[in-house]
Amino acid sequence: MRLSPDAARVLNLIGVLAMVGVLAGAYVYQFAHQELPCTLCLLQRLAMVAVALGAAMNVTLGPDPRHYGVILVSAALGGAVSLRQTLLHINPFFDTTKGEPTLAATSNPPFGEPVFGLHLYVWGLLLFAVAILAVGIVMLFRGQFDRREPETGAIRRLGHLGVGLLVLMATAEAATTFMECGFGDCPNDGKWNWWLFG
Amino acid sequence: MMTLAFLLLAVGGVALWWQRARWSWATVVLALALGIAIFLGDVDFAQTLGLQL
Repeated sequence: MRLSPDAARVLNLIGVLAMVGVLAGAYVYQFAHQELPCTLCLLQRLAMVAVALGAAMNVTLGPDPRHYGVILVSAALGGAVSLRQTLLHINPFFDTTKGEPTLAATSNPPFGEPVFGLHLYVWGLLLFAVAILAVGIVMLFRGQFDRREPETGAIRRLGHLGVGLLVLMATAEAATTFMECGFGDCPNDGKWNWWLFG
Repeated sequence: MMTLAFLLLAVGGVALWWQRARWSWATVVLALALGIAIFLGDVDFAQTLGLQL
């Protein structure tokens, strides 16, 4: 079965918009619960933007195995960070200051409020796993790397829209990260104490 | 550092808008390298598997 370059572009554009949507949802959660993201949370957001950028490269510059490589490396980084954060909070009976188990139930509470039963870092792990699986499936199809097929005008315009939204999101992330962390380390207590307004 | 990483991706997106492939590649590679460096710096390798905040 053959996947045309334009069809591949559309699939990648869906990926870009999906990631932008997830990041927008994270902002809604952040401001609704008044919980600032931790360092690991911000790294996961960074990986999501990078995954979207890899997909945007397929949309704008044409499908290329190297662009899928960007998606995979970014998703691997994001998955590693998500996995670490999941494992850090997976045992609520662990005293992180002493590095040993304890019977005190609230010694290692989960970070943030759950969404539909799972915390955001677990959703992040699932998201990055889905991204890796999706790239694997899409790369089973040939034809998308045929550069003799020119891009249609409608795809180009939609691609511009997608990249524009991604640039807006990345810029917003940079701005809010600077407002939260300033020039130093980012806070990891989840409280609503912005560096800029401190 | 985190802010810089996001800024690099934003610049990469702008470069992509203008079809500047080389700039886009350079910024995304730098941003990912920075992200990996931040992640490795966050993990406390002195403890077993770094399972400590």
